[in-house]
Amino acid sequence: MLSISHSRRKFLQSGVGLAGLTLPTFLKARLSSNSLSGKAKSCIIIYTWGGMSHYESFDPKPEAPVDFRGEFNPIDTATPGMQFCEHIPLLAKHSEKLAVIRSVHHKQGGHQQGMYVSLTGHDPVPGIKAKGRNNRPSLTSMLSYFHNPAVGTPSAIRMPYSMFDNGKQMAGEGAGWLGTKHDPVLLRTPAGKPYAGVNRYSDKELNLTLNLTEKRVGNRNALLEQLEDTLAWRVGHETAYDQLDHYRRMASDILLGSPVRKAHDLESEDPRIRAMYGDHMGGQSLLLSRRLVEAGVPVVQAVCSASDLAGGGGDNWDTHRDHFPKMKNRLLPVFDRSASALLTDLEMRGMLDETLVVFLTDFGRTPKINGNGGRDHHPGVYSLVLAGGGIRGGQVYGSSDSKGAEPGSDPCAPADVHATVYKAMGIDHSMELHDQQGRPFRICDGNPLPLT
Amino acid sequence: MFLMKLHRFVLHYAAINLLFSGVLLFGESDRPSSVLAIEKLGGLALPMPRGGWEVGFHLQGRESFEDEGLKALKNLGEIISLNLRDTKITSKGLVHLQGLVSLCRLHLERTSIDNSGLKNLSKLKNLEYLNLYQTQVSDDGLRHLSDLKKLKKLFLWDTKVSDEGVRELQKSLPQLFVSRGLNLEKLAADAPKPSPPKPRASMKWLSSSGTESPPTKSTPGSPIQVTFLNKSKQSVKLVWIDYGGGQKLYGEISAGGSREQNTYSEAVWLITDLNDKPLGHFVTGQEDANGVIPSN
Repeated sequence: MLSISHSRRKFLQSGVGLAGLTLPTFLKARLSSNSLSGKAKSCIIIYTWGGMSHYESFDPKPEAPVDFRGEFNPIDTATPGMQFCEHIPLLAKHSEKLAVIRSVHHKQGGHQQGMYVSLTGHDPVPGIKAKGRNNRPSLTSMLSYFHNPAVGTPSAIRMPYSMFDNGKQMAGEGAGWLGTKHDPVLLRTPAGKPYAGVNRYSDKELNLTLNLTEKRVGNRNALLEQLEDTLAWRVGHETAYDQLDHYRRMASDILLGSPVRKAHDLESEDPRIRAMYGDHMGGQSLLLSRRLVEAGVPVVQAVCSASDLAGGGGDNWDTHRDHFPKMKNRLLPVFDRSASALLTDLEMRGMLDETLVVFLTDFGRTPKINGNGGRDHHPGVYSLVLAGGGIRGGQVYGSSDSKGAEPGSDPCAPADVHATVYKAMGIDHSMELHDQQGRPFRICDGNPLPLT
Repeated sequence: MFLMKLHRFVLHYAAINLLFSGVLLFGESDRPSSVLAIEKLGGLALPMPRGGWEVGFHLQGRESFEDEGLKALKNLGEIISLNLRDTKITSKGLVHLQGLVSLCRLHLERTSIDNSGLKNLSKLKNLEYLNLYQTQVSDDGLRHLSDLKKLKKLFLWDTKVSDEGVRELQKSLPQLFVSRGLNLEKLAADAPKPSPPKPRASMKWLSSSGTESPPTKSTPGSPIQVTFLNKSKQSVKLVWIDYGGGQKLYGEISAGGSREQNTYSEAVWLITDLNDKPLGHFVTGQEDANGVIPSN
């Protein structure tokens, strides 16, 4: 059993204890977040793992030489002057909702590093590990830190699995120094045909279809309470123990019934709406995202890709070989259908003005098609998209050069896109927080783009 | 010294805990009684950045909140936004909204309100956003909204309004954006027909007496289904070679019989006779497939 002095020291050292913050800083954070007039209350982050080619999506280059522009043609969207790749026709119809940023760039060429900078806004230090508590917090975690949903509702959920490369879990999806309390809850999407390739469901995802009856969970809780009363008395920090138990409490609240549990039950959705999203993991994950946002979860992250980049045959965006058939037949149709269903759904339910949708990916893909009919990694320039949450749609921000290799105008970094997200969510992107060691961290090093 | 530090630590702790545990800006004792009354009814009242309140019963109040509860709203002061989605209120209850003249945003979607309820909204001159999707309102109800000169967004998906009624309203309110949403029946009719089931691939039979040797273990993959068909004249055993090379018996298939098996891509399956003598192997691919154990 823990002795008093041992547990106190452990507390101060672990990220869990004070969530890395001192009280006065926390209060300052809340007040300033209320003083900005961001309209978005919720955020859905759609992550295409592996690096989505900007050519074959939001930034086609019909004028470039054929071995740069690739096999596909551009199509007009609903916005005059804005063209997309012909294989995202449904998203093209939604262009009036979208702000397309075509000049994003960074210097990280590997998947781990590219994902880390895309999700956290910061370049990684060498040797970072997935569960590292000194990592930078992901955008998902940091956004959730500023939201206080009802008891029993997680402030951030990510689904359907963690991102892996060659069997190794990637760093960048957790809350890092913000503390375990802000790690997004990993939830398994309960429906939809899995992406082909290596999909790593593990036991760590919260699977709400566990075969636990209410009575069994209730009994466990009663036993747990007895145990806690005893331990709390011995350790002497009741409130501290409560804090440690946050996730277990929340898990049982979810298991026992709440808006979140009901949202998770996709069987209760109109089957025609389910069909609109498509019977695959991408579609059903975005449907679940909408339902979770409706149920009061402030931030949801959905990975729309197979989870492990190993195994060239898989449905992830890392198309070093056979890029064109994979994009046309497997990747773009699912993405197009899922994302446009989400936008249609949010709009007709009157949720789009308060729900910010953010499209992220590791990097773009190389201008020149390689010897295997593929494109390789290219952080030199790529496209990201924002929609809803007060973002002005029907606009393109920045451009890439004529070959799609470098920014042509208005270059920006992933951190600038994050700053834009914070601003839309009513959070001061330049705010400083302090971790347990008293080191100051600016929550975001970028500057908001003028997209609202 | 230690005790003092401990005391401060626990105090800071308790304060953060309160802040973190869903009690938003105030401690229990600091919230006005009008706010506590709303919480008792399953609602939440939050102060808005520029003054006024944002009130919602759509989360915890879904099953329980009724017309009677709307009476509590008059004690709160300026309500800017009100969310009654999914609650049990009726058109009669909307009479309690008449006094909420500061209201900018009103959610009534997925409730049982109808045209008679909308009459109560006609004096809410500051209303900018009104959500009525999946309610019983029709063109008659829309008429009550024609004086709401600040109304910018109106959501009417899956209601009984017609194009005619919407056009009429937009004549009085030219700034108004109306969202009719999708026609779900048309959506279902237009949905891509499920493609005819592809003829299943066949997995190659790697006979144990042949020269091709199978992988020594399975590799983790994605879920697929295979059907093993035993065309031989003897019963066989079905064994899975696990990720470490070990054998795991799954069952037997009688002569002429078949077995549906959930498995994963890149898995190795061994077929033996009832004396455990290996007959052959299959290795699964990425797609559902058949595995035919040949007659020989």
